[in-house]
Amino acid sequence: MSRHSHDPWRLPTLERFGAQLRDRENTSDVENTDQIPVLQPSSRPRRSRRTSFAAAGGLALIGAIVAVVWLTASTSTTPAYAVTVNGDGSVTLTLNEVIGASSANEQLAKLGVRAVIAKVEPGCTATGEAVPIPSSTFSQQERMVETEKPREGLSGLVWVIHPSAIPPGDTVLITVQLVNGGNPVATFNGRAISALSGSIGLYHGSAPACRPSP
Amino acid sequence: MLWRRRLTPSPLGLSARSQAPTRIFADFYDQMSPSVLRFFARQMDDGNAALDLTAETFSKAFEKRRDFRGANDKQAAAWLWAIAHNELARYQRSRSVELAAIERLGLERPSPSDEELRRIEQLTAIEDARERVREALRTLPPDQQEVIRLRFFDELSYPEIAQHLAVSYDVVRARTSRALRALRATEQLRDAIHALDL
Repeated sequence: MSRHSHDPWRLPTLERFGAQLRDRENTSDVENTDQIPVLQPSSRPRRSRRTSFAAAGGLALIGAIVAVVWLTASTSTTPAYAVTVNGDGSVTLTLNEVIGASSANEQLAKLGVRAVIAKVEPGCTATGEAVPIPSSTFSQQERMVETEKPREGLSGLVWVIHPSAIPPGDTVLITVQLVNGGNPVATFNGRAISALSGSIGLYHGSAPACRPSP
Repeated sequence: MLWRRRLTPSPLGLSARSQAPTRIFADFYDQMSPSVLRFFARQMDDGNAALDLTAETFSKAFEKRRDFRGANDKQAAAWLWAIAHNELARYQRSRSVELAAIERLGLERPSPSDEELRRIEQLTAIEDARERVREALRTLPPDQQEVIRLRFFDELSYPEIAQHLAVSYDVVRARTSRALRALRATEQLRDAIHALDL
């Protein structure tokens, strides 16, 4: 029944701290929750499900680029992409279809994550200043972006981005491409299986918007 | 996010998946932080420590918000107070504030101005005075207790009290006057009454 329209304990310094929490909350929640599939953050510390390189099969270290090929079987109900902020500040990026790349990029930008997805496009002339990641410092790349194993079934490419590990001024580039021109490469339980390949690089400044076909 | 999905809609807006998807915890902070600061400030003579403990309590709550399994505001508040009490106990053991959650979240600890620290001292003194007067009210007749409570704790105007109690304005003023006279007669209460500007 208090008649206080303004609680005297609501001090400016409290308000300022609240603003920090508000900012933090804004950057740790994805606006479109409908696009968060089964990737809800756990209450437990996130356990890395990083792919072992042997299991990844197609992984290769090429200069600044680490590539992995993954089979994927998207359905009409599968979101094209998902961007989820984890409890430790990392961001899980799931890409089920290449078409989701531009929306995922918007979401990453909104979250202030310096990482972009670029599609491999014939005739792409965009350039950027790639930062070499020698194999001896591969762990540096792992600290920035982990590639995770697919979840249940074949659910596209999944990366865990650690924004705080990306050097200031640099941008992580995640390049994606449909393997075999998007045509099925196999069947599984009667479902056509296509393949996406993804690779990771690091660029000074902004990263190129697309990558040319090899 | 579990924090959103598990809770049913509530006045604090803690749950509301259908509501604005962001700023849900921040709204909770806005609602609860003055009370939490008041709680800590009354436990110690150190405004800086009270602010640090408040900030650390909410930072820990922010980190653990997905663990919250309650279903309404009352449970949310109880959950927060449990964290606050733990922080106070830790402070009382070590005589220092642990700022671990603030640091993990990369937040800046509160940096109050001198004026704000003085304000915390004043507010704490007022709270203490209120408590002493509240205790003393028990010695007064019930009708006088009621007008003092409504006038000086709930901050109703005299006409509002008259309306609330269904008595005349003059009756309210007379009861108030008698009550204050009785309270001022107690020497130990004079400072408290002065602090409350009764």
